[in-house]
Parts: sequence; C-alpha cells; structure tokens
Amino acid sequence: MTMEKTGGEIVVEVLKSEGVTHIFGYPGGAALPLYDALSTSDITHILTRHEQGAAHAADGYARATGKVGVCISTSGPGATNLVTGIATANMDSIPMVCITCQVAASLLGKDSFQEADVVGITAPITKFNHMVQSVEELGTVLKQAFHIARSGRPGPVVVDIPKDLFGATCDFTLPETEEDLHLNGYHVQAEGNTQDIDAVVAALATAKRPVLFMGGGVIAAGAEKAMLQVATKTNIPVVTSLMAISALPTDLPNYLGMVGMHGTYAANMAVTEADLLIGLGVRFDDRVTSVISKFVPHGKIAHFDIDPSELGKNVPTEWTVQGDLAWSLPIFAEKAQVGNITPWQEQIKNWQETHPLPQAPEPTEEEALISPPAVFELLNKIMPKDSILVTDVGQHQMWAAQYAERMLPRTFLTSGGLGTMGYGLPAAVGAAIGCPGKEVWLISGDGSIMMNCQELATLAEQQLPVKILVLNNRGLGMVRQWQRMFFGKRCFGSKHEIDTNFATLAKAMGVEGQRVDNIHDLNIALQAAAKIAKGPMLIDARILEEANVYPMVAPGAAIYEMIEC
Amino acid sequence: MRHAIVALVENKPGVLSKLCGLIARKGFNIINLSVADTERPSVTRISMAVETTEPTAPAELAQVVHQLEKQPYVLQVFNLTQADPIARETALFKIAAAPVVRGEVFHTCENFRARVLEAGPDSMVVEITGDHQKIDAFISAIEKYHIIESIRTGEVFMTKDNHPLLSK
Repeated sequence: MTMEKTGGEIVVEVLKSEGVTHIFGYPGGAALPLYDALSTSDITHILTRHEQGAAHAADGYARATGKVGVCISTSGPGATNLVTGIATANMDSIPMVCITCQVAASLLGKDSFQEADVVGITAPITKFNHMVQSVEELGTVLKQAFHIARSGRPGPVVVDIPKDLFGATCDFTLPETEEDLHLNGYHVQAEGNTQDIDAVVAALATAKRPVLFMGGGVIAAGAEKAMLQVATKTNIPVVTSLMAISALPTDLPNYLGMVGMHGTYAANMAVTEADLLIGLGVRFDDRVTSVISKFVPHGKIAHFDIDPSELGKNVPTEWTVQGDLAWSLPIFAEKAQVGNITPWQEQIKNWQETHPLPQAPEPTEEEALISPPAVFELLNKIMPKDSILVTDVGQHQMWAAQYAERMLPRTFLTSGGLGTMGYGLPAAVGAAIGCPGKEVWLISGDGSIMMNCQELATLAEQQLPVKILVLNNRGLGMVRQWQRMFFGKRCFGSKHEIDTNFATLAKAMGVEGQRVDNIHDLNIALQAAAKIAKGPMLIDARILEEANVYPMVAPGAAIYEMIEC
Repeated sequence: MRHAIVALVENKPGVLSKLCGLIARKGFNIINLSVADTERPSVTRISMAVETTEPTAPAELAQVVHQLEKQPYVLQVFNLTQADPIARETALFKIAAAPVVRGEVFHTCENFRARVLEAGPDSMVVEITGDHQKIDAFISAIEKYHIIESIRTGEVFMTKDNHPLLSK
C-alpha cells in the first residue's frame, strides 16, 4: 500500500518488514532524526559504549542466530568506528546491515562537521555499500541491503543515509518481491551442476586416503545436517577450519579437529598424506595452508563453494562444485561412497594416539599457576551443551579452538579472518541478545578484553547471562610466543607492566568480578559462575606467563613440519 | 600481456571507483580506461586495458573478473582478449610543424589516415583512430618532430559477431 512517509518512518518500516527486533547503535548529530523515528517503534535499541562494540555485537548476534545483524552509527567518527567491525564481518562472511548516518546532502563534500567518505572508506570491506541519493530510493536500497547481506555468500552491507533524508517525505510502497529490488547485476547461483558433484563422488569412490575439510560455509549455508550425514555415513576423517568449529559435534569419532598453523597433529598429517581433500565452504586461508606447494602434496583437491571467485583462488583444484552447500551437500551425502579406507583410518588413529594435544599437568602444590589445557578441562565440564562460547583473539582463542567441546552449530563464535582483538566482549553481548535463555561464555585475554572493555557497562545495563573468563598472562601472549620462538626471545613491547585487575574493572562497570591465581580457586569460581542464572560475571584468572600454543607451524614451514610441545 | 576487459554496469554513482579500487587492490595496472553510455540508457560500458607480466597473472586476472562480477551493480564482465575483438582508440597530437617540415608531416598523416584538424603557422593538431599498435606506430613516425602535446582516449572493444555483449 502506498502511503506518504518520512525517511525515518521508511527505515523503521523496512527494519520491521525484515523481522528486525534488536539493533545495536550509538547516536550522534546526524543520527538524531533516525533515533527519533525509532523511539516510537517497537524495535529494541541496545546502546553500546563504542560504535566498534555495536558492529561486533551485530556480528555476534548474526553468528549466533543466523539472522542479519543490524547496527547504527552517526556520521564521521561514528561511522569510522564501525570500520573494524565491518571488516571483521566481511572476512568471515557474516550477514550485517550497517546504517551509517551522513551529514545533510547540502553539506556533502564541504569537509563539514563530522563528515567522512563512508562509502569510499568501506568499499573494500563490504559485500555492498551505497549512499542513498533520495528519499524515494531509500526503502529500496535498504531492502536491497538485507537481501544482499543474507543471500549467496553472506557479508556486511553499509547504507549511508544523509541526515536530511530522514525528514524528507515521499509516497512509499514496501518492495515485496525480489523483482521489486531491481538488482539486475546481482545473481546468486545457488544450484550448480549435479555432474560436478558426480565427478567428486566418483573420485571419492576410488580414493584411498580421503579427507573432508569443512569451513565456515557449512554453517553459513545451514548445511550442518548434511555435513553430519556425510561424516557419519562415510566415516571419512574430517578436519575443520577455525570458522567451522561447532558445525559438527567435536566428539564425532572421525573428527580430527582444526587444521593449519595450530591444527592438531592428526589433522595436519591427514591433509598432508591425503590423496583426495574435499574442501566444503572453505577458502584455503594461509593460516590453513601455510606453504601452498606443500599443502596436499600427494593428492588432489575438490572444492565446493557458493562463491565462484573462491574456486581456484588460493589452491589448484581438480574438481570444483559451484553452488550453495545447502544444495550440493545433501546430494553429495546421498551419493557418497567410499572404498576400503580402513588402513587410512588406522593410520590416522595412530597419529591421534601418538600425538595428542598437550594435556593438563597433574596439579601439585608447586604448580599452582594455571595451565591452559586445565582451564578447558574445567570449562568443558561446566559449560551447558547449548551454551555459546565466544572468544577474543590470541593464544586463548587457539586453545579454545583446540580444546573446547562443542556439540551444536553456532556455539563457537570467533574472529577468524581478520583476527580482531576486542571482538569477543561485544560479540558476546550480541549473542546473548540474540539467544535469550542460552548461557554465553566469553574466553578472552588480558590484551583482548582491554580493547573493548567499555562494553562491560553494556553487559551490566542489559543484565545479560555472559560469563567472562580472562586468561591473564600479563602481556600479549601470542606476540610473546612468536618473539620467544622466532625473534631470539626478544620480548619487546609486549608486556603489560601494570597488572590490571579486571575483576575490579568489571565491578566499576557493574559486573561481578573475581580474581583467581590457581587452578583450585579457578575451579571454585567456575562452579559458582555456572550457578548464576542471570546477569554477567567476570573471572580474572592469572595463568602461566610463558605457556605456548602447540602444535605450531612456523611461518614459512609446511603444515606437516609442526613444532610440538 | 595486454588484456581487453569490458564491464557492463548499472549507471549508478560510485560503481566506477569500486571497480577500479578492486583491480588496484589486486595489484593490476590499468593502462587505459574508457567509460561511456551504451545502447541501453541504464547501462554504462567500462572498457579497459590491463597489463600483466607474471606468467600466473592471467589466472589471477580471471579471479579479478569473478570479483568484479560479484559487485551488485555490475551486470557482466568480459575478458575479450582471446575473442580477438575490434579495438579502437582515438588520439590527438599537437605537433610543432615548421613550414620546412610541414609537407613531410602531412605525408606521414596521410599514410596513417590521420586527419589534420587545425593548422597554425608553426603547429598543427592531428587526429588518428586505430588500435593501440597503430597509434604507437604513428607516434614513432612523428617523434622526430616535436610533439607539443598528445592525448589518447584508451581503447574500446567490440566483438565481430552479431550478438550484443550483454546477454541479460
């Protein structure tokens, strides 16, 4: 139905039509007319304490729910503060719509107060961006934004709206169909060629050492069931990228864990010895492949992906299947048959048994300081099955990726491609907002938590059930690990000389906080945290300062050349 | 190797800068670029020549073409290099042609079917159309006279078959 509406009302109507219930944002001059329009809507606004927090919260919301996350900022610094969050979502293909308010059209290009070229700045880090030119096109562009963000290979979209458009009026009809969006240059080829799948099926039937390599695309496509079907039906060893952790239950017998720089020995060796590696929604990132010429040196690669530009991008492939995994994976699961791979499975079992991940030492009086594997032994016992585990970036993130037991999809949220320190806390806020009733655990480090610690105030305000465990090694652990291993132990510029008490910091912002420095007290604190049904809390745990993440593939080495504990 | 890339895009603000930005980020050098309207009012045609030197570059350029096609306002992108398209650009030269050499210059222009647009007492402006090799050859021929100023439009490309490039 056509009705005269203001730009502000159009934004609200589009958001409602897209089923948006929560938005994360931070107001400012150019955003005020939009905030005024939102004030009378039933959309809940979560005021973060920094725009970067709003972007990561929208990202965490999207990862936890599978829905499009929405964030709003004002012009200039508000929009530029979103940038890291947008780039994070872009690298991990997370559907997000970011509404950045812009100075009034009459002030554009005049270096006006709080003016920034947001479309120019965000072009390389968005799936699509656009500055709205008129109130007439506003509704269509916003509907396009949601469609583009969630369809095909998902990604963030920025819609930049000059302030004066919120007050301008036009006759508005909500675009209903895809045709109404007039996206002539945007086509998602969800269904590819079934013969391409048949070719991989045929290759698999004769393969002696096949490996399945799943990536974030499995989760993005919602193809976890088909993934589980392939894995259980064929019993082929499965390795995962960081992004696909939680796509399969981590206790699946043929699940070998993460592959790559901090991959398990069995996963890295399986990929190295494979005669057929089937990549599913992966992009063969350098943290996975290391030296390309030594990646799958004895075998051929098949690659399933929805994005044609990913096929053949990083590794040479023998077979490609372009299409949505929601289309291709069920067909592949149905048709896949394996020959005799028993010797291969035995070989892998042997690798697993002879090279397990480093285990927690038996606690003694002397070794009171906390070892990382011990942390995850405790966490795995107390985290509910449907809880969401969010990480920041660094050593703790890799330990989480290696040790955390995850049974359900979308329960492991981490910044993979961009590796954004400071991602965790706001993403946990978003996940908790998106999944009421679920417990959210955030594992962070003393470096990462500081980068967006202002969001503790948001947590307190919203009383979200987010439990934070800071693995505090009084410095930048991963940086120091590299400095110890590859820079002659010159640990320069990576030590926190001031021992920040994060428990006190949390309390100052209204979050319960506790500090522990041995495994016994950590256990008690975690048990207590698990019993808190409502509201956030933070545990600042002092861990061993010089613990390393093992195994590790040194830069420039092949993935089978692992440094082990 | 020189590649003939043609992108058909929707006539929207910012599309050109996004395409050029993407190509630059992938490390390719755009030698020339031409942007103009087409037989369809809402469609703009971007023609460019891209130079590659590394042996792996053509495969990487194919990647870039895929990346360009992903842009929502981009309708279709073609690498026409293998299709042997008709390639044409126009160039203008302002040549210092003193009366003593004027006859020679006129003669050279005639050989290249270049048109003299302006003839002043000691300079002339010449127009030439052709593929980039022809224009390079013309430059070689007139280099010995002083070229005061020159400008090239950059090549545009058209296939020889009877179909429009844009199928959709």
